[in-house]
Amino acid sequence: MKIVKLIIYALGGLLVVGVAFFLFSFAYTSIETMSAQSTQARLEELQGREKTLGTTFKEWTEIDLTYTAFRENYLVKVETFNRLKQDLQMLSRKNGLGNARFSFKYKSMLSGILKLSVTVELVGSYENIKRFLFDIENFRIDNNIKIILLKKIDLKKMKAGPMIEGVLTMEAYLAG
Amino acid sequence: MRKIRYNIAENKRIDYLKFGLVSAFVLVISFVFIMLGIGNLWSSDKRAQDQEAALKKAEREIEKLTSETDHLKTDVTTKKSLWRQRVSFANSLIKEKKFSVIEQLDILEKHLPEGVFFTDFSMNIETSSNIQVGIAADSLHRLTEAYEAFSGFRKTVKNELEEEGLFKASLILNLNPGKAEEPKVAPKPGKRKKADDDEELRNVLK
Repeated sequence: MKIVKLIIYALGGLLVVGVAFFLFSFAYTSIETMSAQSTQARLEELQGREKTLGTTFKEWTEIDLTYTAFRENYLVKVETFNRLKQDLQMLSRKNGLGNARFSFKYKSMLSGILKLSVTVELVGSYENIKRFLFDIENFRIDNNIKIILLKKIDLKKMKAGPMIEGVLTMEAYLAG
Repeated sequence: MRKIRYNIAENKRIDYLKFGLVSAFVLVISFVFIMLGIGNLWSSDKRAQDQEAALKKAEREIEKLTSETDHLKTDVTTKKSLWRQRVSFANSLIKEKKFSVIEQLDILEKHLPEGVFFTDFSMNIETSSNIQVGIAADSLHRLTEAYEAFSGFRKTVKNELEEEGLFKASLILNLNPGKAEEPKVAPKPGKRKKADDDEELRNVLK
């Protein structure tokens, strides 16, 4: 009888151990799956962050390229400074303002950009001065429009005669 | 003669066949559970090995991505202020370039009545949208006509005088009469959206 009881206890124990082991294996697997999922989620989040940053970086790089194109197209190159001086003097002569006196001042601005202030003292008819201003507003080098900004205009009719004397201040930007 | 059997034992007699069968069943069930558990752990172990390999790869990738992200962040942060400065500079030039002195002169000329002419003209485009013009008329009537003609420019009249038979005056005209005079302030970096910042610049290059 004792042996039978022992067998019953042993079998009961074995059954309990079997069931417990089975349940444990399930719990263990689930925990592992959850851990893998959390790592995957972290990886995806990081990939998302990198993608966003990559896009931002690309956008800013495109802006930088646009700026470079703007600089190339619309600003006067430092090496063409002499050409700019000659062209301005040529424009004054072309518009009958051959006596115009030019003075130039520089100031460095952003990296690689020089602000060039040009002061022009001139005497001439209103029509000629207006034509000169028009040419300045549409200033080109090799058919490419270059930005020259008129900053200050002071014109005064001379006491004698119809001539006007004046001082123009303008700015050009030289890109290195 | 028939034998009468009595069981006078303390416990019921065990049916060994039945007991054996139930025991075997329990044994098999336990065995099945254990085998299922082992199978589960086995496959999980295999999966775990695969996952571990994938995890290691993922961790390496995470490390790489983290360093790349940090690098990009630093790069963007350092370059952003420079880029903003450049875009703001380009936009300010484009904005100023859109202003045409010739157009303003044309407008003023159109408003000038017959018998009236400009004697001087002073304009500081950088600091103000006001322009000071001196006018001279051959009669007082013409001068008042000129005042009337420039009334849309929120004019201020000063220094009215008659000199050498001409009626002269100095007028301060506002080129943007619709708008109140606003002080020119440099745009604060970071206040505008990046997309807005470069829109103007891109439009010019199109």
